[in-house]
Amino acid sequence: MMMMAPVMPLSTLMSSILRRTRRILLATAAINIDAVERFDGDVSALDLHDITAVGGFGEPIGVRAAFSFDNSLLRALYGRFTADIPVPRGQEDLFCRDTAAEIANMILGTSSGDFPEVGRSIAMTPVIVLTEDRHIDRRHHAVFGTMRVRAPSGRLDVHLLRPRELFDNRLNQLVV
Amino acid sequence: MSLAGRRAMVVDDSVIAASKLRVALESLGHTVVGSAASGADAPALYRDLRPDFVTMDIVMPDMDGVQATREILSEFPDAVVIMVTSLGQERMVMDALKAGALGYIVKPIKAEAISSTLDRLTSRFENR
Repeated sequence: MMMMAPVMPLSTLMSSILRRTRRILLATAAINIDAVERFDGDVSALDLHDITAVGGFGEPIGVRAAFSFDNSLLRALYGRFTADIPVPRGQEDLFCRDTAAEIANMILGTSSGDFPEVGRSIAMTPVIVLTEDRHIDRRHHAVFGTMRVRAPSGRLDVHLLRPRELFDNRLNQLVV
Repeated sequence: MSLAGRRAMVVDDSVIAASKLRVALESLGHTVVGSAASGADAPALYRDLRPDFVTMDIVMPDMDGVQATREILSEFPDAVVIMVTSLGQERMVMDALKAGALGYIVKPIKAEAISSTLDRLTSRFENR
């Protein structure tokens, strides 16, 4: 008989993502997190703002993750990330969006290493970047978790959405 | 035998990672002869360019780096493929090594890490 892996609580995953976010912002951009607000349960809607990088984990974690960056925070990260490479004229916005994707990739990648008990390779979803503000109401049996991270240069909102198959990679809700 | 002056191909969907790899590789004396932004484009580009080695991102749209590595090696068994990954993706790296990749470097990208990885592969570059 096949054993089903227990569902990982969003709060556990969020704690890992917070820990990794703190380390990565500090290590890559010398940005310290000043404050964190967490809403692990009973979140009925999500608001995406400015630039949002969307990725996630395949089964058995099965979660989509959205990282909404304030423009001011993202500009600060972009400055650090591109300090040692040439950015072609006219491609600043592309590199800025890619900064958001790279940060999300690093956070999700390192976070996936926090769960060795999962026992096999966790498939990562390629990160895509959304540039429009969005409001997403929770429908069907979706579960949301949210965390707001504040730094001197701006805020980062992290949203977790489950089940993964209820949303496409642009976070449109699908009927399953 | 010096490893400098090799022809490299970069496969990465991130323009920042690709740029950082180019800068690091050129600082080591290599030439980046081509870049692909997805795993799906990598085998054809490899066929066209026949580089001395490839740096391959793991998580990419269309086709991931593990599958792209398999496809390159199925046609070119002597290809030298080095994976580029984030910390925490060790299991995906293991999949890539089983697929035939010869080494890996962990982001953030540093020229020293690329250099030491290539140094370990010196014998693979002989007679090229």
